[in-house]
Amino acid sequence: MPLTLSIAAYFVVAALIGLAGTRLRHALIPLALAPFAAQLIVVATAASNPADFETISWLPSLGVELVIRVNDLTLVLTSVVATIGFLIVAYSARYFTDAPKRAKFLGLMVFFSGGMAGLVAADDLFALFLFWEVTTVASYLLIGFDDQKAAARAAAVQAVLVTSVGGLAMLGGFVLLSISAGTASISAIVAAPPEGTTATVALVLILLGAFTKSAQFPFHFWLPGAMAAPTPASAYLHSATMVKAGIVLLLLLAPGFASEPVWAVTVTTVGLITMTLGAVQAMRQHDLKLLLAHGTVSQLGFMVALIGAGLTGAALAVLVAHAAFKATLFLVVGIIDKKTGTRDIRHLSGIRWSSPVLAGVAATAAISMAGIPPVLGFVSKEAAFDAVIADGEWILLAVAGVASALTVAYTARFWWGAFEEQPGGVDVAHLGQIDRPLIAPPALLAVASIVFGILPGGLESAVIAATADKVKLVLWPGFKPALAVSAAAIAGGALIHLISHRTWTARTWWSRLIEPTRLPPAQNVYSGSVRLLNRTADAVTGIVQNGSLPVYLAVILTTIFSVTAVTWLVAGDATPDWRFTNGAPEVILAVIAIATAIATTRAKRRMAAALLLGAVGFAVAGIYIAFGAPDLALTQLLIETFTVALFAFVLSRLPRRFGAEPASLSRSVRLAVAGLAGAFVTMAALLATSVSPDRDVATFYAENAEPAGGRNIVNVILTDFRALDTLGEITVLAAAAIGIGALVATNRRRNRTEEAS
Amino acid sequence: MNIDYHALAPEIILALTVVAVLVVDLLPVEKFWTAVVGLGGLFLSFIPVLTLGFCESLEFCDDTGVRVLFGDSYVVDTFSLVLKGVFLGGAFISILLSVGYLESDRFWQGEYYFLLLSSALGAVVLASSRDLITLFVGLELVTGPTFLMAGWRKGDARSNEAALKFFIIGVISAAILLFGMSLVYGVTGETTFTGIRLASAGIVDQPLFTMGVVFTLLGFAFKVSAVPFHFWTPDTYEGAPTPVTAYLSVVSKAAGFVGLLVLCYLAFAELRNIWGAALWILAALSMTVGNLIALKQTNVVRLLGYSSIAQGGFMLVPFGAAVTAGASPAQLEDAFFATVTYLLIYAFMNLGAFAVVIAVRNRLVTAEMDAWGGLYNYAPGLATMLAIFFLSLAGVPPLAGWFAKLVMFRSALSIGGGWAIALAVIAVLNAVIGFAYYAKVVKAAWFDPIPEAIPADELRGRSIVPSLQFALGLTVVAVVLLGFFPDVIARLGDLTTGFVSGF
Repeated sequence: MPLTLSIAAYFVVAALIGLAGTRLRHALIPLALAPFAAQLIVVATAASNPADFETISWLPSLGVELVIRVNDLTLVLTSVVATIGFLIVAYSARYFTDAPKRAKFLGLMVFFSGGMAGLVAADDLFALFLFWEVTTVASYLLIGFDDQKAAARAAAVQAVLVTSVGGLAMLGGFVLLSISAGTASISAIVAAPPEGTTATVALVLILLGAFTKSAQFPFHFWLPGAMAAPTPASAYLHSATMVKAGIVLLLLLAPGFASEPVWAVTVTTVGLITMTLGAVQAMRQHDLKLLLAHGTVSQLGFMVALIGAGLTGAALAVLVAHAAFKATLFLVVGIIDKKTGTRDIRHLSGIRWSSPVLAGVAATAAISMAGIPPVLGFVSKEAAFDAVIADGEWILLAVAGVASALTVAYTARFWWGAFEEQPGGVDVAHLGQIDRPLIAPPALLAVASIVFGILPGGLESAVIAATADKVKLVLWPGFKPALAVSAAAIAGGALIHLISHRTWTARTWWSRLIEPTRLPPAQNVYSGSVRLLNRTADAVTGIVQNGSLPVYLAVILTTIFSVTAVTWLVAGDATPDWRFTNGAPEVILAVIAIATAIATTRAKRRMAAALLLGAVGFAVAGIYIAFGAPDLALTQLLIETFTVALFAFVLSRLPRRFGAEPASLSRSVRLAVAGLAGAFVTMAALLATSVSPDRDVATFYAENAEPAGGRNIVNVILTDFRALDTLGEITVLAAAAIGIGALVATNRRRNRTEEAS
Repeated sequence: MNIDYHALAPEIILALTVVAVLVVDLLPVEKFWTAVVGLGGLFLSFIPVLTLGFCESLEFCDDTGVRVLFGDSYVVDTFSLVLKGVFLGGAFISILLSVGYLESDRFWQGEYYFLLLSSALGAVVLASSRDLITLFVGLELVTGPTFLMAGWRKGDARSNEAALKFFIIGVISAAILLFGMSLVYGVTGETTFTGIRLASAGIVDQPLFTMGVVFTLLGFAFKVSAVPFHFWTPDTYEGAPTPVTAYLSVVSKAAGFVGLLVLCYLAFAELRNIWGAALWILAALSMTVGNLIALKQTNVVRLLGYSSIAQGGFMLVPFGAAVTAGASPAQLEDAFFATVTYLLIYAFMNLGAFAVVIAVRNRLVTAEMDAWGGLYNYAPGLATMLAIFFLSLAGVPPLAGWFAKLVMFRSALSIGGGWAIALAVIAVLNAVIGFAYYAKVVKAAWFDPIPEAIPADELRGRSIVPSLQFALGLTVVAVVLLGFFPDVIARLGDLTTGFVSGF
């Protein structure tokens, strides 16, 4: 299992870097490069002999296996990930001058790459999710890497929240899909796609995950924010790899679900909107990184739309081309930023003359982005147009044509902004010497763009093998409709550029035209929901954790009573069997009990309240007598008397009158809770008496009280039959008394020390 | 009476250890030895748990399958053995966490370990009890000693308040529980779970019975601090000594869940519509309220307090999902398995999180998140472990917590039906909120600058005491290993034997 091991190597190396950190010194960079190189070797040797699957039994109880798929698609994607990763790690080794920072960054990069390498190769839904989340967490750490800036932190949080909501939705989708398909293997699911509502819901959830990860409308807003990441991270995560994860997932599932209406419609529509929106937005940017980020959004939209139309081969070709040129451009921007301290196109001027090598590299990548021959960007875009025309997707063709024109325009904006001399710009004529390790990676990628542009044959066969989709990658397609579309796009883009350029600092009709797209609603939805969440959290904290014991008690009582009452309604028959009265004495006593109870609550003095409470007890004792239970009545009388006496003792040390009304709960709420409690207890008592238990406990006690040594049954129960319970109660009360005593004593001691000091 | 001493060996060894700790405390030796005896006893009582678990492959062991003792009221099966293991392990790690803490001041070490071990004994008994009375005795043995432990810092008013609040609420919940149990007993005339289940078939719509069931469950809701019975939790967690908080949030809480599991799936199996509905509400409330409040916390201990409420909510999700009427026995077994798995993984990651908190507190004294900024710069090892435990709590793969979340979602979704799906959706949203605040702590430790108020010598400071290092090591290994190879749990044996369909 060479591929599996090569994926594991990333994690081993990341752990090593994390543990050893700066102690690795010169070994750090070779060590960080090693897993990428190893994987490239594995891919190169595996290509000739594609063994199908590498399987590790992982969760047999859930029927989940860690399956790594070694087919052509995996190999194409893996080589993109590993090649660009290798170059960017080499670049970052020089980009970061601070040794601890470099170690931390490289460790994270390798960790992330492991996640990405696993993601493109996993053939199991849950394994894929595992690697997916690794990339989410790693990207959070990478975006927030620049710890000084608050903006970086906020952006990192936003990126991770949006993608992890999507990720969890996707997990839900995976669970549902695996349940309805009976397997978690992607190749098996695609071979025999499940149908029905569950599968449709699963698909929607999975698409949600793919769209959030790949920054598709309406979730596209997090990607520009993520530009707070260090530039090498942006180059890798936000152009070549992580944002492609959603595309990869769509590519994997497309063979099985392309015919599902929900899939085709949603994917194509979302792709088209994203494509246009991203390109328009790119025309507004002054920050080179933001310009590229919006361009990425647009290109991702293009790929998604192609997949939606079933043109997976073209999508894969565009993916490869985009990874190459976009990584190059980001790395170039990184160099510019590092050398000049700015990425603003209003400030940069004249780099073309001061650094021709850099300009050459950038120019190659830029014409690839714009789709101008003879580079890979043109070849892949041409192939895509060709496929779209052959398929008769006219709406897609129209939108893609417009977006392509816009792409040409923002490429020009990029080029003029960054490299040409301009009147208002601050001249940065002398970039100084650019280190070879910094310029080499983008230069190599630019060369690759040219090589694959001129000789696309190898890539063509790889893409065809990977997607089983017809796609023609040739440098000169001949005079075909697709070429006309390309030419029109280039001409249109040039026109837009001519109109809009030099005016990008002023508010012109152009900027007013695209103004409405300025604040994408989704960003508002995101910040709105974060605000709402925070406000809800505040409110809930205020209500639930306000520190007031009466509130706690009220909530607990209400919950207990209402939950029980609901179960009575649910479970059915709760009609007690009852009679209103047995005679006049009862009624009189009950009236006295109720009246004194009400009076208790209205009493202003503590002593009066205690006495009234005693009176309630006496009335209840009277009812016991009326029912012929003198033992019980006697006990009740004793206890009431004793309690009142105790109250008298305690109350002598407390103020005569009650304090002000507690403010935490209004009178009506307290009344309602008390009323509910009363109603509930009444109901429970009625229900209890309407049950006739099998065994008559009362007879047992009556018969056995005398042998146990007493005539008063209640006394005998308390001191003999249930003596242990009595002991328990006494213990509980004693413990509570000790606790209260300790608390009072500590408080008093503290007060004393406070007074003393 | 013919007693199976092998089946009772863990309890017997633990009981002897409890006595031994008291004796050692009286001897003229360093108090430190009481902890050593306690740890040794826990380890020894773990051995019979293993021999019982692997009985079929051991020669000297007389394999009798599930061992039923004392007239159906005490059962030793895979479920109870796994949970005994969790309780013993949890107590073991809690002692490791406590050693450094107790040595740091004039605390009553012997008594402390005596109480902790007694409580652990209660939990071990609880895992096997299949009878209302045994269950109650076990549960109260778990809870009783912890009242005292929560107030262990006698001079501190907060600690006293923590203990008193905990005690009062604990006693109220015991009263409600007992009231419920007495109603159940009164209506069914049975105390064994088997008996109750058999007797309940004809009286499921008897209001007094449903009231008994609901009260019993609500009594447990206090124990597992489900919202709205959670009010004591944050105050007690914050006021109690941190090792005690770790113990409360893991062993004591797990004991509550074990009670719920055996009651719901055995005794009240015929009343799934009732406990399913009640626990559905508690699950949704606990997750949402716990998470929302945790989001607002600035103190890491309080944050963990609320997070444990929310985690409890996640554990209740499979119960709530079981409300769906058409759930098949296999799906219910899944739900049962999901809660047990979650419980097991939660125990390790939460203990680990508290171990990190204790270790950081040893340096910085405070648990305020602001003060923890830049921890990575001067304590990279601790910061890494903090990231591991907190991200595991957040459910990030490949750390153990993600598997817990996966089986939880999976059980709810596979049961299906509107209510179960709705609960799964609530759980997903809460998982996101949870991620936000766990990640906030990690981010503070890794990326925020070191606060200027912290003197430089504190940063270079003290090393972590060996016992704490050991605890950290154990939990890290468990969390990472369970994350990568979660199937270990399924290999522990069939946890669901005797539950749901095995009846």
